[in-house]
Amino acid sequence: VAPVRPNAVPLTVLGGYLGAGKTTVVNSLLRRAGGRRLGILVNDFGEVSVDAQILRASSDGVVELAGGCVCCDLSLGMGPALAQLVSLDPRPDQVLVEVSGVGEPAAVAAWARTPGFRPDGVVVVVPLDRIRALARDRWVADLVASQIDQADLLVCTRGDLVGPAEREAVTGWLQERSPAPQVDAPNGEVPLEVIFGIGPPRGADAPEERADSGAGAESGGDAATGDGLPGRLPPVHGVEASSFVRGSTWTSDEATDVPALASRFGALPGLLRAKGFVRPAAGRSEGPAQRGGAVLVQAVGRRVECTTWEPEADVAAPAASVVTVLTTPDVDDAALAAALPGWRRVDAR
Amino acid sequence: VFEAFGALAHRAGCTTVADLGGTFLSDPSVLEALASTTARPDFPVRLSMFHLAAQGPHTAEKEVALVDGLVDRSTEKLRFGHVKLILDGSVQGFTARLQPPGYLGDRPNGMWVTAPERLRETFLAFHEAGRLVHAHCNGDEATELFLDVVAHALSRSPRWDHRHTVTHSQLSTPAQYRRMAALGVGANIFANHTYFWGDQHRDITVGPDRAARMNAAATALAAGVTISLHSDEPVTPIGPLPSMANAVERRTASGAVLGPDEAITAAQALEAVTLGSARLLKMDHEIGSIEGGKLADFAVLDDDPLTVPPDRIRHLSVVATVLGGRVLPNEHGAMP
Repeated sequence: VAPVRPNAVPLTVLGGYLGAGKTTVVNSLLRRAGGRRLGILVNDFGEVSVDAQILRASSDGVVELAGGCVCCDLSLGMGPALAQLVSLDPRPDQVLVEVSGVGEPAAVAAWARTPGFRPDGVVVVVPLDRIRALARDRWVADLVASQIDQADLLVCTRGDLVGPAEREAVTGWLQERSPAPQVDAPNGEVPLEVIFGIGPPRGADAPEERADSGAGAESGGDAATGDGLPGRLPPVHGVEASSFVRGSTWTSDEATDVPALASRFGALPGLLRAKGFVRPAAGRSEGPAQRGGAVLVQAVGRRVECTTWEPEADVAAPAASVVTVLTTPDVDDAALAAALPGWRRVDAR
Repeated sequence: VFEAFGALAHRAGCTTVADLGGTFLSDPSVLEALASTTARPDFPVRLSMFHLAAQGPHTAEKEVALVDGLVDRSTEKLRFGHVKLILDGSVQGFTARLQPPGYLGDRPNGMWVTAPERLRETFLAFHEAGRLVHAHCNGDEATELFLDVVAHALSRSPRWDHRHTVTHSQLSTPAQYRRMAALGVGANIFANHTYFWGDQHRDITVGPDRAARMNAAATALAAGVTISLHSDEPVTPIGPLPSMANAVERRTASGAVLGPDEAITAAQALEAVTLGSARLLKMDHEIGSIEGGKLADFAVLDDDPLTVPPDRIRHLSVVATVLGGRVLPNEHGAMP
């Protein structure tokens, strides 16, 4: 459990072989960003549909888009590009790095340890119609396998090009290869929370901005904040309604064994995202529990990160633990209840 | 930059230099600088500027059009029209793509710099446009893929005397050299690697057996492949004489001889850095040998590289070069 890094910008890596549909995913996110300031790093602007919406292009390769997103090319490498993003005012809410089709996403993900950023998952785009052929391909089989191995979360594209039987065979095959959850993205439309995480844009406390983040905002978010979280904490939010994801918010009055919770989340098939504040059980050593703090639990697919949150003088510690989870539709309440023993679901069904 | 590079190449005894790294040929200011610098009578070398393809956002079709547009800007000392593709990384960086058994110590295979699909598409477009393509292949799996791509393109669009070339060709196998000969593909061999990284290749990257057949100039010539030797400046220092010496001696930095069976004679090495290079640049009707009707490009040395002991070759002095009949003395070279 590492200390929380205030204002660190979450950095998500988007990988996948050439033609998997990464750029389609990026373009779809740009269209739907809805006020979130997404910072996108790409090898080149070539196929990103920024042309029509450029507000301002700076000389150093940063392009500002309508709606607050920025796009930056990687011609100078990751270091300079991240330095540019972190110097923007305001800074992006989220950074998404599109890795080249022949790149290894894990190598790029290491850059999320750059000061000012925090790792927020490796998302690998998998074209359902081609992935098994690619995994047998004479030249790129090893590359495609390692891209899949490095994924915290798999985004399945081009599902419309395969029949139901083939789809079942491919997703089953993927499941055997990788414990990462699979989320469908027809036409590249990944559910927004999968990339942006659960919650409002950073620093956006205005209710109208919160309402932007999805149809379920009232149910999850307000119930959660009403459940004892101090106002200075980011409110736990509801999730965008979608037939490809299912969101729910859970609470517990008991102190929680955080490492055990993290390992159950890590092993929960179909967990796409989780975010919440957990009141930890008192440990043997001096921990946040003794100081009245909480643990911020955040998951992207099978990657779970726990950071400590220390209360400030004027902010009360949370009385109860609250976690919002986003899963694939096949994960039911029973499975979640098993991962969250003693917790109860609080959002409207 | 071009001026300094020209001076450096001249001191090393070059009269024509190929730059295979140009992603910047779409920049008008670069083209302007190239044109004005090379137009000066005292600019001491000819430049063959390759277009580095499939690295940016452009489609193959657009890149073909870009190169077509460049060709009209060619002059006697500034040539455009050839194309470079990069398949893999480097052996010493463990990023070259190797066939089994791969790197020592169960290291993972290297990386593709260009995705095979994009490579195929780009190569075919330039092949059909009649362009000459040099392809960076350090590992033998990269060579294998490139030869497959060439074979596929030739079966679709037969072309005679295309002179497509495997550049670096460091781990190309005897079977691959036979295939190159059959396909009409040349090899621009990175002989300097034997000296600079030979010890490391033997001990760390690929082991003694494959290190001994790296940069297999003798196998290439025996198979009937046209070869040249290169420095990859700034990766290793530019200099046809040291490159010749490395192919003849095959000595590593520690002094060991690596794969003596792949050593070639001084005469073969001299032909590789002159007429061999000219053939792989499609300039052998103009340069590469001293013949009536050619451009009179050559270097004047302080001794005969074909008769001095092999360990003297790299120490020979360039007294002057002659470019198109114009004598360009080398103030750094010693008189005999």
